[in-house]
Amino acid sequence: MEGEKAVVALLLQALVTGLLMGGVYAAYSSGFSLIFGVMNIVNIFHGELIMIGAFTTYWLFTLYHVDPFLTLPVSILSASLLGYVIQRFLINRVVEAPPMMSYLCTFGIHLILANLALLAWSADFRTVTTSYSGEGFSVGPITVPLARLATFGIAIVTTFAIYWFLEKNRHGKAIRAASQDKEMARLVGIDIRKVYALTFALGAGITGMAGGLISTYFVIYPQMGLPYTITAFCVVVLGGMGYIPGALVGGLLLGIIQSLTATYLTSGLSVAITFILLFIILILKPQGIMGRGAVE
Amino acid sequence: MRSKHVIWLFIFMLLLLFPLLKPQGYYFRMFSMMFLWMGLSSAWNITSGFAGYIDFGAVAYFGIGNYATALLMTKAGLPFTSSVLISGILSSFIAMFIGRYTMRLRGAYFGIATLAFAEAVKQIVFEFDRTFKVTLFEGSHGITLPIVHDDRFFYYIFLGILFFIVLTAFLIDRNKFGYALKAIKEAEGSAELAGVNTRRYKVASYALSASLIGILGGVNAYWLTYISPLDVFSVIHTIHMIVMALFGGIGTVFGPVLGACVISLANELIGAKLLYTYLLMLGAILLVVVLFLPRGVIGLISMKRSRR
Amino acid sequence: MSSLSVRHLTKTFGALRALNDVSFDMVEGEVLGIIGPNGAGKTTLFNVMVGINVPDAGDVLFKGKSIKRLLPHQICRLGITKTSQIVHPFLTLTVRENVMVALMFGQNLGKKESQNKADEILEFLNITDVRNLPPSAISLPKRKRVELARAIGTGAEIILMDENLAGLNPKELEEGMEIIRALKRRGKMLVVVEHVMQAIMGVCERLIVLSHGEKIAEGIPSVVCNNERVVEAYLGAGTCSA
Repeated sequence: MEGEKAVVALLLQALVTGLLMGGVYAAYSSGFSLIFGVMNIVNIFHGELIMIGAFTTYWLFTLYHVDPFLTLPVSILSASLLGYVIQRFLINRVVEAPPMMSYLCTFGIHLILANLALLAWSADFRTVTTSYSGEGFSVGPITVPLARLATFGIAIVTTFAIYWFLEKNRHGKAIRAASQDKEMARLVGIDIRKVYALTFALGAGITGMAGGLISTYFVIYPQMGLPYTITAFCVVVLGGMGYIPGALVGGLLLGIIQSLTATYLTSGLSVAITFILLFIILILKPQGIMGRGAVE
Repeated sequence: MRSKHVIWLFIFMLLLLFPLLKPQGYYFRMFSMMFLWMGLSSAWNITSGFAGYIDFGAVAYFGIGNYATALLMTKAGLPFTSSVLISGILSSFIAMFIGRYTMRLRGAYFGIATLAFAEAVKQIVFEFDRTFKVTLFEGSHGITLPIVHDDRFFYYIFLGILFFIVLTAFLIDRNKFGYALKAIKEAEGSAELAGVNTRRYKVASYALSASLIGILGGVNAYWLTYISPLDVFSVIHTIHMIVMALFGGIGTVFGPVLGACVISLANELIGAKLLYTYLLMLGAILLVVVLFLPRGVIGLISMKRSRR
Repeated sequence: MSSLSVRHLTKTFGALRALNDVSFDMVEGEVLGIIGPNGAGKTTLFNVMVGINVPDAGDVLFKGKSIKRLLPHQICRLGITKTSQIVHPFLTLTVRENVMVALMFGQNLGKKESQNKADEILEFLNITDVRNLPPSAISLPKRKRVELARAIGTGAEIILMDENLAGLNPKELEEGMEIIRALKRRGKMLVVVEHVMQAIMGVCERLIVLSHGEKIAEGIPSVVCNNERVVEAYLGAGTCSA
């Protein structure tokens, strides 16, 4: 009896951990999906936007002792400003060029941002440890960490906020319409480049916020970006490219699967598991599990 | 047109004769390193430059080649040459399987999928033994190979493979295979409508690139005598292949050779001492090339020529 | 005997029913016209026929064999290809090389032979002057001609032409119509999608009208375009004389 209970508890804990981890994945992947959905750009410096958001929170916390959750607006602002500037002055120049050029461009920016951060802040691992770090509450045998629960909630809210914005809001609809028919946008006097830069700022902002949240429970360092980009990509492919709620579904799915493998097999193979999942999706259903994303 | 090829052939002859000057070991090693990079970026260029499927995970095949050769030599006791050849064949088989599905993705989606693939292989090699309680890849310990003190041997091996790779690229560039790849790069849909079996050709190019990179990886393992997952699967190697080919002229036969020559020298001079500055510089080069010089240095040279 | 038979094709994209139970046959040496308002399903019909899209229901039979599950390059080698409405040439190759690709892979010819045959096709289409230029350097009408040259280069018996004559001036249009007649004399079967009624009336022996994914009329051009439903759905009165 006792043994059976422990087995169930382990499974439940794995599921809860996975669900919450999935919330984190969704939080930092929806911006990737937004930027892809509107601009058809796969942003390889996505992970650096997370890193910028995380370091903004870190420095405000370390230097001025601001509570991490109160730093989030600044994280949003710094990442979206960076995203806006890069989009406006660099990516906009290659938006009309062959697609190869646009993502090689984002790859170059990835290298520059990551290594600038390395030069400025060194390769050290850093953490944001608050008085409530590691706090959680228990439901029976299961522990729920607070910070991740908060991230989970914020991820759900932002995902639906963006979804609502693009589907129901007038400005959001204009953004979508402009991205789908550039010629028409030009005719009615919409500056498509401005639309792109604003979208990029929005996507970068929510990504920066996710970075700020992540800094409260994961170690952060300048080179952290690339694995996050890979995971965000896989999450978005799992959920369907460019379909915003897909990021939530994909994130949760990936979180649960990784948590289960970490509990029952090993935690060292997370990227491998992610890739294998991605690969199976590619074989079985290239449109993503929701079957609604765009495949080119 | 022709004079260009004569120059390249002349340089090759000089390199063949160079050891007769009895140079110091350092020069042998530096040239070997340069040949390795020229070969890698030329091989990478077949898939990424000719067919336009930018491979962000090419290091996977470099690492696979390293490990296959190391394991075949140390655990199976096979001689060097056959180990390297088997590494190349193994790489191409893995690439056929991976490419068959990942090449359903276009552009950057293919790029990140391959990036994920390379990271996954690295992780598997790193964690395999610990996870499954066996002794195969040796995880973080790495593998030590039999030591050979013969700089000249490796100089000629690398030079020979480089010659073979460039010749392959040169022939592809002007035969049917090359036309299929260029058609796929420019307009895959139109290529299909023109009768090109696009899936077969792009997967074939990917497998070819992979086998060449795998062979170079195999030689690299024997040359370095010690390999570990974090070294041979490092994403920096892929970054190098990308930047070198792009800098010299992506999709051209000699561009990657030229780009690799310049950038591997830069790596030798500052890469070891100022790694972050060096990587920052690579990013800047990438941006400048993408924004202002999409055809690379080779494109710049041929533009000047045609103006004259 | 019909060599191409389209049977009950249905294709939907999400909520949009692009094709709904469309059927028709083609006989050897025929030039068939397809007209209809934008969004009527003409391009989708072509895409299903060349293997870009797989139909939800129905079938396409070519010489008695189903081709609906084949890929475009397989269908091309069997003998059906199309020219696209929005042309996507191979931009870094020359015009001649664009055509050579079709000859090398559609007909499996060697490089040398393809070169000669490409020159013949370019001469036939009267664009020899631009053969060494990249497609980006030539005018849109000529690029459309290159698109047709590529289709001819594949050696396909049936060429589906999706608005290949759109946007031409009267002289170019007359030349384009003459090319279609010449292709017919060479034994090609052609399906012509066009908004330019003058071209349709001038070259087609039979006409199919699509509207909202359905075939609403079929027959001899002069009869079809006086059909009440057709006038209402698409043409407006008095267009047939054009």
